[in-house]
Amino acid sequence: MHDCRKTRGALVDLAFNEVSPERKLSLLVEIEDCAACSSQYQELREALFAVDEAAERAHPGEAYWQAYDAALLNRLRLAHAEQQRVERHSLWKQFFAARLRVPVPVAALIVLLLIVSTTLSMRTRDSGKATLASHAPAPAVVEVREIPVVHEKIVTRIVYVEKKGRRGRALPEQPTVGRASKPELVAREEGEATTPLTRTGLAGFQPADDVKLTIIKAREDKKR
Amino acid sequence: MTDSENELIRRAQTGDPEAFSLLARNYERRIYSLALHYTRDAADAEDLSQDVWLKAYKAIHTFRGEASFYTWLRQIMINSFINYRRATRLRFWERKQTSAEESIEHLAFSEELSGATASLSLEDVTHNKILIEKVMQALGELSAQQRLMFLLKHREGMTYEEIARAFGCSTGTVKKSLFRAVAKLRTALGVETASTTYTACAAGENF
Repeated sequence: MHDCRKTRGALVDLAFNEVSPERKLSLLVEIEDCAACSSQYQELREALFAVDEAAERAHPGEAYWQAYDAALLNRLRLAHAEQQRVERHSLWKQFFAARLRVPVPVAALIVLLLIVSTTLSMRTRDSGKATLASHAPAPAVVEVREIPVVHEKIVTRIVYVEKKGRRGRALPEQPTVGRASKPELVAREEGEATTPLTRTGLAGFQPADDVKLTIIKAREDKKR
Repeated sequence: MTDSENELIRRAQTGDPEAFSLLARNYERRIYSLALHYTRDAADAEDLSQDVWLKAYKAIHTFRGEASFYTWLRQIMINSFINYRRATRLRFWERKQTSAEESIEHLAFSEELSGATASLSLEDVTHNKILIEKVMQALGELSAQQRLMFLLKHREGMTYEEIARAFGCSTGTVKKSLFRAVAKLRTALGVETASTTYTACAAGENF
């Protein structure tokens, strides 16, 4: 018995030619004898026909295609130029990204050789160090040279000037009773006898504004 | 593939843009027609079809000749159409402002299409415009995936299995999608007049 539901489910397959020739024949016979199915199939065919007709009529003219081809060729040329520019600048990238296809046994042999050579070079370095340690160092030639050294004696002398009073008279010396006595100032230089200096009260004295520096150089004959 | 086409492919693989341009002329109208029915906009169809050619040019070195050039090109075209669909989703709010009628008017009355109708009478030109408008509007009722599957099935003649492989889905999904697409087209084109009630009858039985 004909079942419209089953038949209509196959109408789309029939319209799109997705059924076997035998099934197509049986379906067409069923459709012809069933008004409802026939109407459905007709509607389907009309819809597809309308799409085909519209597609046939929606074609641009030749003038359009000339401009289309020119625009496409221009884009292709730009893409080609860009491709060439990228290839030129990416050579170094290709170098680092290069893959060398080597058979596995060859790769294993290369790795083994690298390990052996590294091990041997490390052993050679260690034996070299041991050889150096076992031998006595070669006698170093020592050469003594006298380099004259210039000795300069710099004497710092601070001269205190008596502070004058408001009336231009020197202030009286301050009594030193009750103050702790200061040890004698001693000038000392290397290798020379000490020269004692007299103790001088500094009250009422101020450093001089002008200081004349005198650099005394030791004579060379003293040192030889 | 003809010898001349093989020669053009060989030259294109060495990076010759002129050779590829000549190769494209064999199939550009077919690609454009599919793009036009998919996008329903002449300007978008031009951009999309040229993008397909550009991608094919950049990938021409991968063509091994195991299948025909157009079969290889068609896969690039399908991927480009699907990616175009994803890109247009981002412009959804802009496109929402443009009604279906406005975009179809742009298509039907565009200068490019009027060139093909220059030799026809005014009546034929009007009929063509109405037909194109109606079909494009009907195609707009389909989802992007339904539309593309329908075009690949009906205009390209691909089988359910080939479409399923191209989309990465099952043949059942393709059949269901096509069934719904055709039902929507019948309704949109106004050809649905028969009753949908199913009645058991004796059609096909031998008495």
